[in-house]
Amino acid sequence: MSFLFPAFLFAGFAVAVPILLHFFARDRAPRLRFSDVRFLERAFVRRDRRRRLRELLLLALRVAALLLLAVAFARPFLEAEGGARRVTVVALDRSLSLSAPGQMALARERALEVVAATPPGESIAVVAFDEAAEVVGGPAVDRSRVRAAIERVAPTAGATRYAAGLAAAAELLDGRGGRIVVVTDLQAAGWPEGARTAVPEHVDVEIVGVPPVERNLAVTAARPDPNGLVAVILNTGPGASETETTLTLDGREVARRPATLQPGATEVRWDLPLDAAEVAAVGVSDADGYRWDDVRYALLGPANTTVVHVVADSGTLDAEAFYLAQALGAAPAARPFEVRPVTPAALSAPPASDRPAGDVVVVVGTGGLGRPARARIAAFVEAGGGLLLVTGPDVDPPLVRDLLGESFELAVEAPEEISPLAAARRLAVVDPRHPVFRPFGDSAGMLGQVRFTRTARVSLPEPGAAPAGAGGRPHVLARFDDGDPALIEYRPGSGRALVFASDLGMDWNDLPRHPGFVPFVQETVRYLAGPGGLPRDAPLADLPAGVPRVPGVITLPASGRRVAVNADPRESEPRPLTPDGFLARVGVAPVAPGGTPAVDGATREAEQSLWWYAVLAVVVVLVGEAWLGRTMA
Amino acid sequence: MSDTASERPALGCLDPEIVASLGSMELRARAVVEGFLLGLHRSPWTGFSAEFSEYRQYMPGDDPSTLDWKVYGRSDRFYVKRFEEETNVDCRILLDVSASMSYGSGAISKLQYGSYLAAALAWLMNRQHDAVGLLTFDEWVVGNVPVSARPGHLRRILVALEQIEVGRRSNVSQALDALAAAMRRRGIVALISDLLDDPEAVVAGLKHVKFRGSEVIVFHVLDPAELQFPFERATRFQDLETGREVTTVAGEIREGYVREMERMTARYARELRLAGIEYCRVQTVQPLDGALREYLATRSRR
Repeated sequence: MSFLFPAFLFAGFAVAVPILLHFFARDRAPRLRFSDVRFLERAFVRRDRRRRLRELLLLALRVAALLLLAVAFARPFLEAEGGARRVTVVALDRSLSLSAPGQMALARERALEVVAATPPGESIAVVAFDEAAEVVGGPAVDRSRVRAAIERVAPTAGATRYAAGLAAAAELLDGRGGRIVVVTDLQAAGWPEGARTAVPEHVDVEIVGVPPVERNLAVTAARPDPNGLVAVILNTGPGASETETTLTLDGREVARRPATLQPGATEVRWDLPLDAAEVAAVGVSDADGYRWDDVRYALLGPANTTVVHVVADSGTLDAEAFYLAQALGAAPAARPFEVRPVTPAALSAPPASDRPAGDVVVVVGTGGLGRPARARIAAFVEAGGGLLLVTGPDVDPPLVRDLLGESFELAVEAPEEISPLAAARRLAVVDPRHPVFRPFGDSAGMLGQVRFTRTARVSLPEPGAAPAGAGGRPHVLARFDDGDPALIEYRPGSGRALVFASDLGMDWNDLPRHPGFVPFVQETVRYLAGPGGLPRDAPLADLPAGVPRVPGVITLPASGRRVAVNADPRESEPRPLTPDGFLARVGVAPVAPGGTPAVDGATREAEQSLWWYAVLAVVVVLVGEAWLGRTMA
Repeated sequence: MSDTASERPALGCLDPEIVASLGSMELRARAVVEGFLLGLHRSPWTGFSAEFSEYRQYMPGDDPSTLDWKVYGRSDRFYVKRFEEETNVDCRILLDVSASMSYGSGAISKLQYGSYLAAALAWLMNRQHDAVGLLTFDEWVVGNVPVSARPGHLRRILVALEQIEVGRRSNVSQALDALAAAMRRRGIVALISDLLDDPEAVVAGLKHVKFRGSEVIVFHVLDPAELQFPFERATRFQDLETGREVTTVAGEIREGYVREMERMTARYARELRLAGIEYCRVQTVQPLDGALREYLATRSRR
């Protein structure tokens, strides 16, 4: 047992007070000369023996009360290695690869075997994972609750991401000793290229394997071509497979034919006029394979375009927004941007509508940006739009305060010029997992090569200040190497806003010259566009919250755009890893110096709250003391 | 065993505190005895004696043996003869003056009460023309006024009672043995003591005296606090004789103490009654007449 505030244990020396009173207070009893003490002695011997026992018990209770009080104030807690309960987390794979007939039932059976083999009294939690993880049960000692949680797990169309499951399981352990049992088919696609993860040092990872399917047929691509439509069908089995393919246009089956699929990918072509059809669905019969990859959907109309308004003093895209427009114009045809320049003055004119018609507003200049315009932009963001505020040379710092609405304090000071003799500032990515940096993967650090000669200073609320609104505090995604915020995210209302504390031209930095500029700008604008930035063919993982994660053609509630949602084609490949190959991807998280668990004592103490028991014991002891003292009075 | 106060209402002049307020032992003794006699219906002095006192007409209920048949022969009327008693009894008063007798929770101590009782007894005995002696003792005999019926002897006893001092530890049996060895004539022995000694030895000593042919009456003088033990708080009790201290919570041990005390007095009462010895337990708050009544009852048996 350890203590959060061990100094309070010194208060335990106060037990000397009742002890001294007990042994010395009797000497202060008045003296009375009496005729004969023989009878006193006889009665005393009998009665006082019992009384002495009671007095000792009374003393013990008083001492115990003081000690318990000292212990309660010292805030005791149990170390994980010692008395803390060990926890087993069952990480159950529910990805698309478990959707083959009988696969999920087998996985649940394996998970139940793990539960049965876990020693009684040990807590068990259940985490179900695909590309995201969800705690579906526990931690609980009650086995019936755990079994019920396992029985409820059903396969999804999501891809496997072991890192997500392990991270959720490790977070659930919260520094306690324990083990993570991953029940999975060990699909190799669960570890994207180069992906690794780590668990705390005192956590064991075990693998319980579920045999993969022998063969899976999947439609991994479907696209129109000048003569009709082309699809790619994958046969993961060792031999050719006789099957049947179908083509459905706008819900009407227009073709069905048998096919012999050789191992590997086979291109299947339908040469027929698509006319004005909007949705095509290519299917393959595969009774034994995965469920969610047998049909692939494709939208046949024009690609979804993300509309971007660029507010620049010049009102053109050839001046201060030149590099920005060029970067957005380089987007692939499947995910195009439509960039529309607008002057601040035009935006300040009486509006035809309450908000700009588009997905994202990029502000690179504020000359003439009146208060009505700023209010319109703030309302646009509140309603779900995106805002990229580039605090470059054409942005007037006092004017930007209104752009995020009243909920957020945004203070931008005058740009600070760095002496030519001084070293230029560099960018340091703080949150490399943020979608803005997704194209860079593990190479987000490459943005640190950009040289910043001038930057704006963005003041953030102090940590102890009042909350900055319903969206929470500003989140710093990147900082300059001197610690000043460089890229800050705000979430006003339903929208998203990013503040870049420098320039996107070549005036204050050399970012446009950097190879990371184009993907950075594109991903930033797509992220700000939210659902409006989705391509026509979107993976399940990119769907906004609240949208059912099943393959098909859906209409996004925010933008009204249609999106063809399909399973990740990599998930259709059942090739497994070996357990050792799996564990080779799992490292050990750094622990605190001295080998202590990553969770500190305060967290553990708060979780265990043993001091309540000590206080309760004090109350019980004091009640006993009062009762005993009353009987002796 | 009997607490005499409960038998007869107290007369004011017999109240120990009033008696204590009187100036001298002689006054105290006289007040006690005269007050006591006032409460009696007939004179205690008439009885078996050779000296004629008076004639009185026979009343129904009179002892027929007292009829004077010569007067009947002369006058044909029944007269009874009344005689004034003459004594031939040696009365010895033994007064315990040990340190434990100095205890008193109220206005007077056991020793004061005992000395008043001894004085009253001596006065009564003297009025009865009995020879009276006084022996005071603690662990040894510390004072002795020999038995005598001579005029002026009573004053000597009263002076001795007025001058007694508190002694040391008590040894009742040793004093009784010494008395028994010195006794030449049978008589009455009145022991006034708190009997805080070994009961077995005390009873043996009293039996020794009884065996020598004397009537023995024991006045067991106790303070009310010794019987009721009214103390409550933690107290250091110091023994008056040994100086030994016992620290205890009085209220806690009261029950056991009172039980022990009652057991002791009950033992004295039982064993002395079996030995034919009168036992009279008196408390220092009780009037003295009860003790005198006990004495007269004993005296009448001689």
